[in-house]
Amino acid sequence: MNKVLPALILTLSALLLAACQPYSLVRANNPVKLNGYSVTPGEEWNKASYKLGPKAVTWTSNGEVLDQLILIGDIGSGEALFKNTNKNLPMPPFTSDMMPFDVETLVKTSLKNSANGEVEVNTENLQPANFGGKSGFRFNISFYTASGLLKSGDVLGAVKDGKLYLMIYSAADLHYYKSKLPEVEKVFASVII
Amino acid sequence: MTAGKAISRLLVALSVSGLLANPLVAAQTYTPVFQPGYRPAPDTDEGGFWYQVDKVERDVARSPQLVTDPELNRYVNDLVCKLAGDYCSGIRVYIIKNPHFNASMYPNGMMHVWTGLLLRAENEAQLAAVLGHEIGHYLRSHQIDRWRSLRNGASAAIFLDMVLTMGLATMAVASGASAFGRDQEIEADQFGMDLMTKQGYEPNEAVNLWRYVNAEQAADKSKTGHSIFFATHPQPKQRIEKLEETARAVTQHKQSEFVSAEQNYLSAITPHYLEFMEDHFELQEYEQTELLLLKHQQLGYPQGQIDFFRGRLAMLQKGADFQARAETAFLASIDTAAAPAETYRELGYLYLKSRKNQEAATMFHKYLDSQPDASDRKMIEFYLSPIGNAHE
Repeated sequence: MNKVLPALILTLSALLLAACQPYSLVRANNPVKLNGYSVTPGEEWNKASYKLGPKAVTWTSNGEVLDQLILIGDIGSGEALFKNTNKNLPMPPFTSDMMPFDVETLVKTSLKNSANGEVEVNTENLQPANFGGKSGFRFNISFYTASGLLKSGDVLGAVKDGKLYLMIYSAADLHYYKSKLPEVEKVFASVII
Repeated sequence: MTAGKAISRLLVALSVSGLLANPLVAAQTYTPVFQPGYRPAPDTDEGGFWYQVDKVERDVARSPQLVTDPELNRYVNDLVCKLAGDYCSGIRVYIIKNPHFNASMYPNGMMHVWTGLLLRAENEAQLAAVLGHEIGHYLRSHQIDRWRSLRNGASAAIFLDMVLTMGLATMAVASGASAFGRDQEIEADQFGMDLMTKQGYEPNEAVNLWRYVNAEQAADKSKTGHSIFFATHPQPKQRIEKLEETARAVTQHKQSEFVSAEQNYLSAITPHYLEFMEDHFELQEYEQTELLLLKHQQLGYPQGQIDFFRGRLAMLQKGADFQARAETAFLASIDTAAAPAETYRELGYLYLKSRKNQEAATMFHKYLDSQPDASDRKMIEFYLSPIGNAHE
């Protein structure tokens, strides 16, 4: 017992310390370089240390369960938005001939497959939008998570020189979606590409 | 063993009248291992299992993935009742929007029917074969038996986890511990065939369904070939042979003609065909989809909708002349009354991509005319504007 306990405490502390670094601070009002473009947030965000895809960065304010903004860029033909997490549900690839209408389906299936196929993602309100002065598009998403939480969100994107740039915002529909939306709009409007 | 348990374990003849009407001397018949209305005492292991499954059922009952259409639910429920007879009141059917081929049964009487099964069955007899199979698991208490036999190992925990999570999940199941054993599957097959033939359904339809599912699996070139169904069920060759054998025996002793009831089935599914196939497309299973559409065409689902999905499939699959193939399919679709409004939009985008702006505009106008409240109206109007026209 005398030998086991200190070893156990040491192991647990090591595990706790390792768990202390999953996020880094994204400062407010400072331009942030992303894959092929930059944005300037108006508030502080937390950047996750994990990556959903090699060119996907995740920010959150209150934790991913409540809100998250996925910033993706420089996606070329044949590349997927996210890494495969289930070999039976492969991530669909982007192709450079895709139009906003096709990207809508791409996002829908990519989000569904990233949740192990357990969510049904609805998309609507596809419309033209400004992406850093370029002709882009945006649409709304909504889905229930596997545990039954309703999430709503906005997607802003553009295809430039055959490459796809996307920002996917989603948050718990109850309170969080609307409360964070003005800041997300600020990020959307700050794109420099 | 409690007195209640002892009673529950009495072998009860399923349906005396059914047996008299159709003396299946050749086939082995099975009987349920509990009485209708059975519920285990809460302080037993089985009671604990039910408690867990009841909790899952509460979530399932309010899941957004449920198909709630009353008519379709009534149709499937009625068929279950027809097959289960006196046990009908103990079974609750939940139709779940999930494009994979599966159905599942829980010890407390909760039954899941996935929309992927409804898309693949060709007639009422085939659906009855699967529902009968599931009812067979239920009436023979297979899940509880399986769990008890695994109880002392880590596999019992995996099994329980599997049973409690697989309901709505697409692929969450580990293939290590099957929900049922091989013998249980064969027993459920036989029991199911017994139930379906007692109601006059053609037993060979059970064989036809498994054959098709096998063929679809073999057509898969894109993935590893592990479907949800084969992760939880033994490989089907042996089962098909056994079913064929039983079907032959049953057919030899038949006293009246068996039916497949294709029209009943198609009338029940057709109103949902478009919606279920939309979900199916998200699977990106192109080779399987080709087979499925071929089957749907032979069955007589609305041709305009089949052509719409053929066009969509060509666009996704690409390959030689895919745009021309898609165009042909979409144009065939809009020639019919069953064409979804989205066909016009698909054609609009197809023409826009091949720089046929005039044709694109015509199709986009038709789309907006038929869908005045389309949520993507602004996007379509952008393409109709001079700037949008120059865009591509």
